[in-house]
Amino acid sequence: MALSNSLNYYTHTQLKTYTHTTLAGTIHFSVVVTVTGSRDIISAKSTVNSVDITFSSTAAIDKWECRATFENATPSVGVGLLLGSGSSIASGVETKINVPYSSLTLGDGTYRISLYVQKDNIWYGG
Amino acid sequence: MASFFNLILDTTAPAGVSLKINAGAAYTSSTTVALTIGTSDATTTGYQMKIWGISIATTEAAASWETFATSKSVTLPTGDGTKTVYVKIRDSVLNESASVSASIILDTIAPVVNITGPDVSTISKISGANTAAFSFQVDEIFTEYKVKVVPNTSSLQDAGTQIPTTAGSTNMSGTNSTGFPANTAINCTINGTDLQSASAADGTKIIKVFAKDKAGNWSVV
Repeated sequence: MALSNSLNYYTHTQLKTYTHTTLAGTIHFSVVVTVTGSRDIISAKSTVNSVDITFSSTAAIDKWECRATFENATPSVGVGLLLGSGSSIASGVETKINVPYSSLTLGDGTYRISLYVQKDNIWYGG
Repeated sequence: MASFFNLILDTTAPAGVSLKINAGAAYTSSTTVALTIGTSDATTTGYQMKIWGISIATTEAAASWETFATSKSVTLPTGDGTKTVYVKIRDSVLNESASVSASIILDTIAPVVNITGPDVSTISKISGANTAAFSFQVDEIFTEYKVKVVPNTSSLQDAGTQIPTTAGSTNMSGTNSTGFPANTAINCTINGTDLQSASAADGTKIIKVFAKDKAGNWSVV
């Protein structure tokens, strides 16, 4: 059921599967990364000059990065302004970072805020 | 839920802010006026405005932010003279425009007409005795006047019948968008035939001159 629900969101949610081989056989996993922002527009004015970004993953992760790409730039792992990064987080644990407007250094416009997570040296999300 | 979302950075104040009072009129006779507020920003969702120079907020400090609207009725402070209204606009993330202003002259006082004459007290329709001449002047610039036969001395400008000029009466009405000069005599003649057209029966006629100032106030006396 969880997989089915995730597939319903496939166009918006990074869903990837990977395999892990054990003595008992091959087990299929999926990593679903979700990220939300407290605002969809910010400025330099007090009280609206930052955004809280909250994310979680359906699997334990080893690393994470939050990046911003401007206007029509193509988002990808390692591309864009680095807004935050960190190390291991357990499955389902929500992590929140605060990003001030001054981190968006490419001027006024629309930024795509992407969350990438790494597990077993594979990047997911974005 | 997704692994990304879009975030807009907007540090730009609303642009092209404009303000008009009564569609740009120079004068008003009422303290109640209509403001037209504009911005060149394509969308104004979440925008607010602050208005001052009005009765409930004579200073910016006394004014409050309210939901942006392109039109609003406000009351000017009392007392005739030039009134200046100010407006600021801010967007949904509090970027604030500079203030813009518009002015209008509040004039609530009706003009006063003074009549000199007439040169005769009785006229008929017979040539040689069929005209009465008088002049009038107004204590301020006025844009319109009319000479009427009215029911009584306290009648207002919308009462009675205007004297025609068909038979030769002169200066029984006039308009001038830039204004007739103040305190300058306008000479008029009333022909007996025209007077009879306005009021048929023989007898004493009450004739009043009404003048309208630039603010739209009609004279009473």
